Amino acid sequence: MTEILPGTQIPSRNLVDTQADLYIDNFRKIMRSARLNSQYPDGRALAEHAGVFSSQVHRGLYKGLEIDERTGLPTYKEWTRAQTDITLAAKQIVSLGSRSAMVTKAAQHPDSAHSRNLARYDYYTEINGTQMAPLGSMNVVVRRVDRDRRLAHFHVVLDKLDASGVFVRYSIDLAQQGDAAVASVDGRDLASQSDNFHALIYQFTSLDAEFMFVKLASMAGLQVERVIKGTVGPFFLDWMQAPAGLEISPDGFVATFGLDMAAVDVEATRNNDPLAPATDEKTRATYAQVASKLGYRVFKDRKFVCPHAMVANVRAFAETRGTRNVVYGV
Amino acid sequence: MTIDAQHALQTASSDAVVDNLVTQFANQWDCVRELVQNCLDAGTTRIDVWTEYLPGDGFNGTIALHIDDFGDGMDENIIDNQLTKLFASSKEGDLTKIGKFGIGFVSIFALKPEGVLLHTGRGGEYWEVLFHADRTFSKTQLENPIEGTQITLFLKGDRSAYLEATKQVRRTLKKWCKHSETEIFFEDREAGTSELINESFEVSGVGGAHLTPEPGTEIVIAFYDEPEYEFFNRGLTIASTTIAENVLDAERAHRFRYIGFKVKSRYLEHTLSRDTVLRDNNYQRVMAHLDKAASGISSGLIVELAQLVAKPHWTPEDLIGYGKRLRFLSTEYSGVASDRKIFRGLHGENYSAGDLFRAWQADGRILLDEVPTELSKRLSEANIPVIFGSVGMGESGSFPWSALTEILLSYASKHGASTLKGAVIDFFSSYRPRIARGLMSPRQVYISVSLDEEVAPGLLPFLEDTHRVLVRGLAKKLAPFTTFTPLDAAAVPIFLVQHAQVGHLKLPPQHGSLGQAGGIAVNREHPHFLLLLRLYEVEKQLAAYCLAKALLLQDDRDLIMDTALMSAARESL
Amino acid sequence: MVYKSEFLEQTVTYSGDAISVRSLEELIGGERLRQNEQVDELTRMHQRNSDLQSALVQEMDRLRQLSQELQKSRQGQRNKLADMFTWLPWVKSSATTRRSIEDLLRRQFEMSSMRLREAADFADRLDASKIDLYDEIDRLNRKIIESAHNEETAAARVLELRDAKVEVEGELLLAEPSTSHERELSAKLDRIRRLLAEHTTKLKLYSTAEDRLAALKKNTRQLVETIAHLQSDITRYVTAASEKLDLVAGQIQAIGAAADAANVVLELKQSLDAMTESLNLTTQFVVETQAYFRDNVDTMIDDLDLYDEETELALSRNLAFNESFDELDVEHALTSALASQIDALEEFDDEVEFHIPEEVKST
Repeated sequence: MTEILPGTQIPSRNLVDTQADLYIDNFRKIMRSARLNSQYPDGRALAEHAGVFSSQVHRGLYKGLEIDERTGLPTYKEWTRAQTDITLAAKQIVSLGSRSAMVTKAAQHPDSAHSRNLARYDYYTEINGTQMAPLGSMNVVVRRVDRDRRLAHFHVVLDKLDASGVFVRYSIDLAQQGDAAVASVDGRDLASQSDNFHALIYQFTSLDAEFMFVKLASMAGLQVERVIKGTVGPFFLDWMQAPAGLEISPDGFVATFGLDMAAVDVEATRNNDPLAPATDEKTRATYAQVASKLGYRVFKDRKFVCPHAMVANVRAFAETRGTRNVVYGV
Repeated sequence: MTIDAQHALQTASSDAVVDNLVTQFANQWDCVRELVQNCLDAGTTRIDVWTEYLPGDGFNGTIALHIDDFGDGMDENIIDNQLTKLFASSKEGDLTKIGKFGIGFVSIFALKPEGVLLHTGRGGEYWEVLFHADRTFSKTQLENPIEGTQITLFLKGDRSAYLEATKQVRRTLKKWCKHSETEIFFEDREAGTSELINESFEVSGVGGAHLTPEPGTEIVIAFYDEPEYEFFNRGLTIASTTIAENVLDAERAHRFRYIGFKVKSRYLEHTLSRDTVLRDNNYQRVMAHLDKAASGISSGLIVELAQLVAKPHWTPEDLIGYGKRLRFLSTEYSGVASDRKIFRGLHGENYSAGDLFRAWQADGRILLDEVPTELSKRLSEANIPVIFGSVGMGESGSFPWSALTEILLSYASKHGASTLKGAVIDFFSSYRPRIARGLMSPRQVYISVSLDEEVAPGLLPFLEDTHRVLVRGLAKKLAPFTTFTPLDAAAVPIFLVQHAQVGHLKLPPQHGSLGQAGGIAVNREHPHFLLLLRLYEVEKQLAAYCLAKALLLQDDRDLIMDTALMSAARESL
Repeated sequence: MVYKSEFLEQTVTYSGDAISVRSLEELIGGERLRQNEQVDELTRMHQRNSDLQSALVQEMDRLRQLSQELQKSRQGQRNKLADMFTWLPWVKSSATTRRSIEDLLRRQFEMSSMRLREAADFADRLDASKIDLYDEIDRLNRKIIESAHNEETAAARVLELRDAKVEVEGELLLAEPSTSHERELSAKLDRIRRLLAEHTTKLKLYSTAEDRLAALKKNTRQLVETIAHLQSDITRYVTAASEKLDLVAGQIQAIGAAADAANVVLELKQSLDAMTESLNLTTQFVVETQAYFRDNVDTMIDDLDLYDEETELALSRNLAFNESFDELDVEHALTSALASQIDALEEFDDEVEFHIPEEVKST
């Protein structure tokens, strides 16, 4: 497949048949076991959305499931495909017409457009109303309004399937002095976010929480309290390149969920993420200056979900990297 | 590195305040709700509540109650300044949180635990806090990572106490948390059972509706015989009662006497005592939404009734359901959808409120019967509605005829009189008694008699004179009178009118003038007639006048014509 | 005598339902109604907006151009992005909106995916209609064959009756008038004439039925071919568009992020500058802290004109233009080819006139 821009083609692998279904089963089990709180993307929505990929649901209308080799998650194309189908489902059910007529015609003409339409009807009926994982959406809620001081405190949540292939949730607590850098507040304390702010946060999702914190803090009229980046992925599957020292058993997996927090109420800067790359001294020094000026500290963490038999391995891997992490066995 | 510190609670006055807070709930197990609330505030999407029994020496052992969340957790700063420091709350005035952290936590001591163990982690710090029975505590830093907060209460007790505790915890969770937006799992490790506490947000009554009138507010509402009224914030129960006055003002309590609801809103708050909903501006706004919702559910009820009456054969459940729905509808009916057929006829025909009202307007009566008869069949064929029901037996579950009256009254007030005369009548006399006394069975209106082929010669002059008086006095044409003999002993009025199609004689219409009636037949065995007949022998004028008046007296008809009758009697005879 | 008396009593069996003028009219009328409904449905599509097909083509084209422009920009050529969308009538001046290119591209992609899905489903429904019409043709063929057999049967009977009539007429001429024999022959002749009328009528009806059903079949065939062409066109388009979208899907996030990256870098640089005195950290810190930009950051910084406000404005106008197409219903719009072909279909036959033979009329 030709690349439009060099270096932008996502390396992917197509899982077929039982491979794909096993992947989806594992994915849903992982989402349940990961115990993702509100700092992470919505695990339930992800599990439901992923359920649409199952061959039992789409009844053979699609061939296989494309997995991003960088992250072990289904590609943007797959998530979008499911989103498209769920969105169109109600309308297409009506367009397809009577199911009983389709059943009769499909019986008369097996392996024809009639049987495909019947499969499609049942597929759309099953997925209609399924909760979807947001691929790029932002929500701003008012926490507190101090009208005397013209200070409004917001809680901002941006959910996105990032260009790097992982699901990201940015949760930001900040205060805005005066008008509209972040959002405007109506009489009933409902916030409507500004386009500027949305665009800004959207573009920064690949970066660390610290950079987002610095960027926001540098904007006039904003006081930042905390920036938390929760990530679903990467997942390491047995056919993928795992980090050195992390052994994946056959048919096994290690799902990872990152937490990157820059906040004024973190006790000490600490890196408990065995997968976070180390920053060089010079950059660290520069940012230390900025941090002391703004008063934030950074905490990075990661938790893991893997089959029970692999729990000890994963803990050992974390120890070799100098971290101690929560590992849930499934 | 471990830190071991003994902190005593501060002063005697603080002790008293703390004691009050510990025993703040009437039911000590309600502290579980507070712990759940704290879990939600920490942003967890799942809460695991589980119980286990740790055997001891002899019969007594230890009951362990665990509440685990996977939320933000606590670091040392939060532990020192919020958990263990009373009255502190980091969430004052914050709309995204619903609980008061410190105040809620301390209520767990009402259970008199032997100890409370708390494990928590946040920002790379992992802590253990152990509270002793005397509420002193010790704090230790941990090496192994912990996600969120895990609380364990240790209570002394035997196995039966364990069973009771498990029952109470489950009951508390179900009562206060069944509509939580976060999944709550309850596990009894001794019994090996595990269940999801959450239930779907719906109602099971009649004519139900599910509405979202504004972002953040959700209402489910339906008719019930014994409704329940429930308020939730983010799924946690704020108030739940079957006594309307506990949560509604008097007027609403009356209106909602058959309407139950659940309302979820992020704007609702509980009172400081936590036993009911705070009646602030947000509450008033929610009430306005409820009022609107209540007005709307009668449409659903009408649809259900229409479907029910269209069913060809009824089961006993259908019968009870019919009466129930009519009764509910009568409390909320505003005269809309008046053309929907919601009253069951006896011969396959069904009728709308409009049909019945028009029948009442024509004849002053609405006919009801419990079983089809030959008479009801002939009436039905003559387009005279006879609906299923019973009269004179008081309210019955299967047919509350007061509900019928209320529905027709609502219809009348909306559609009312379309003629000037009708409007004048409406103005001077209320619908209610008129409609109520118009509910009759066909047998009460249509009477079996033996109609004389011709008037007996001895009666003819009297009847002809009376006829003349009436015609002159009313200035109306009337067919010549006939006479009849009643067939049974039941009291039959002095006169009846004929209905050609039905073939019976019937009581005259309850309103409208006599000129609109069919031919008049006189009961020649009526004591009053016989008396007047004797009078006629000596006072023709008077007797004719009296009989004419008697004909009008029935049902207070046209009494203003009295003087006209008197003059007519004087002049014509 | 050649004929026998039993000959007149013979029952002639015709297959299928009994035919009469009325039943024939009902049969043809019913067939015609079915066809008209099919044509109506397809004609309805003709009345709906047919722009979407070209809109879809335009979108694909736009995406392709956009990608090419991005590529050209990276190669140092002049950026023509801003010029691409200025012809749009929806262009209004708007307040500064700092939209992300990645956001815009993804929304574009997601919208295109929806339309493509609708088009693909529509093609399958056309395919199903085609199968149904072929079934119709089979059914009509069976009816035509049945009518042809019946026609032959009727013709044979008519011939026999004609011969019998000639013979009886001959005998009548020779018979003595007012005898019982003469009366018998006369009665036989009456019966023959009646039977002749009956079977001649049947012959005409079956012949007519056969012709009219054949005409209907021809029309159905034309409908099938029209649908087949449309379906083939749509399928070809859907296949091509799917391939294009698949190609784009795998890269669109990265393309968008790459386009935004320069802005992100710039923003960060500005923030840092505001915070510290050091000035030359930008390249270094991005390379060292963000693995994703590791290979591209040098060229991105050089090509800062890749993302300018004009481009961003043009892209958001494009998005507004495309969002307006959300209202269009795909299946109702893919019809311009079909419309012109339906118009070219011949009219159905008019009523067939009946000519009852004079000798039958008079009996």
